[in-house]
Amino acid sequence: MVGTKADVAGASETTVTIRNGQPWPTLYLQALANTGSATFVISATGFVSSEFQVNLSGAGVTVLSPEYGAGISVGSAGRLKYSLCEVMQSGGQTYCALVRAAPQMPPVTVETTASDTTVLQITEPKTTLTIANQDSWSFGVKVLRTGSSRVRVMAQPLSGNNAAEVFLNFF
Amino acid sequence: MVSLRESALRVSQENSGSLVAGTDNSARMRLTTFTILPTANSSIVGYELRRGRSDVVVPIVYDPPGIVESDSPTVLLRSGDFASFFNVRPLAAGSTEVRAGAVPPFQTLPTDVTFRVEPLRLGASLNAPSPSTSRYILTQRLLTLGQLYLNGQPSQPLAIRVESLNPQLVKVMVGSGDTPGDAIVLPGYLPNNPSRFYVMALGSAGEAQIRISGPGLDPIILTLTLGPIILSLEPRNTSQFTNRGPVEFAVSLGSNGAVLPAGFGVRLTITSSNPEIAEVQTGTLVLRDNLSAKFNVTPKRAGIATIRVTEDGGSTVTTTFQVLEPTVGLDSSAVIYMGHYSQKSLRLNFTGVTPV
Repeated sequence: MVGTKADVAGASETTVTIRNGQPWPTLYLQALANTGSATFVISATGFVSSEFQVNLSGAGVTVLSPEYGAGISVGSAGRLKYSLCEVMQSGGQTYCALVRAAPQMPPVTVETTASDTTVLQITEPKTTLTIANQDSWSFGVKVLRTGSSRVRVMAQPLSGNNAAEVFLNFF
Repeated sequence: MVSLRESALRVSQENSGSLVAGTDNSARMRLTTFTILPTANSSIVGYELRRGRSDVVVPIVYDPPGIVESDSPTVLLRSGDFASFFNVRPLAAGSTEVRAGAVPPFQTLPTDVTFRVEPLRLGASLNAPSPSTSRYILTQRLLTLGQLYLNGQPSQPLAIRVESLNPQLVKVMVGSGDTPGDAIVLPGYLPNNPSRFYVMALGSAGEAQIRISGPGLDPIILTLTLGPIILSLEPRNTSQFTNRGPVEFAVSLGSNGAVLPAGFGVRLTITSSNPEIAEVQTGTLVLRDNLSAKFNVTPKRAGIATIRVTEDGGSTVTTTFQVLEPTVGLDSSAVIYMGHYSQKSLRLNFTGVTPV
């Protein structure tokens, strides 16, 4: 879909009027499938049109911060920050590039578990989030003692990398 | 104690500078009486002629004669004076010694002044590129200004003749509005009469010579290399969108200091290799005094056209003119990758218009 506002679902076709002296507008492309490709055309009166192809891929979650547990000290509470990412293939490698969620994205059920709950306590272990039009979201955690713990995040319904795991150390 | 010494006469030059034959310039001379002293550094000292003594008539000797002359063959040195002045004027090129003649009891000192009288020499230069002495590069159909000069002011007007030795290639004229001819005579010389002339190149290649001469003067030859008119065109290899207005081009003559003959113009024909792409608004132009002109080319549709400017003599200059269609697109590559439920912001991007 294509729209003119980031927080509003677009349509298959949209028209914008550009008036003399106004900045050129921003369009928002919103991907609604995880496979295939789509073609769209930009046309304007008096100008040669341009055609673009959109290749679709899956999306998942990835941990943004803290990296390796940095920034959260023992005995204190902190936030684990996650983001939506899209799966990209380049040079035989798979990457997860951070993206902003489209407004059409349904609520996501997220389940977060810690491998060692004597080290790390997840204060919001399972919840349903509306992450549409957001760059990231986060969960509260509390560090109980020094040590290491893996944190796994499961997000449904995401079609790509719907699970992310991070290894955290607390000193 | 008074020590008596011998006296002498001496001639010296008052003003500096050389004399040129055939000119009115002169040298102011001084005849002085001296007392000869027995000192190492200053053997003579000027001293006035004793009052009460009769005036002294001193002949002036020129050796050899005929190179310079003075108002009178003798100079009068009056009683009570120690100097008297006279002028010498050039008669002919050469060297001569000037000294006081023998007038007893005055001693005659060795030669005091040697005059070298230079011959009157003619020179000329052209307002054109000069790769070497007496050689110039001239542009076809243009007038190149020439300037005569002498190494002295002649005593009477000199008729200077400027002659084309290759009249099929170059002509000469006094004024820029005169009819070009094979030879001209400038009736007089500096400073009140014209010392300038023009040379017009008829040919676009080859060498020609002009000879400049005058009575009693060694003639000079200027060698001229002829070249075609050189046109320049700006802007070079430019582009324009079809939704923009016409592009202004400027064509000019590379004149190298030359000028167009009065009332004369260089006719230019301007063409487009593809008028459906780039349309020339003005098909012909005539360059006159300012040696440059402007014309417009209107973009019509996308493509590349060659704009050609040709003058009647055959010189040509071209430039490419690319016409572009304005486009609308996005600030993105043609293929966009997107993950499920993601969105991307893309700015519209136009070519052919100026963004705000």
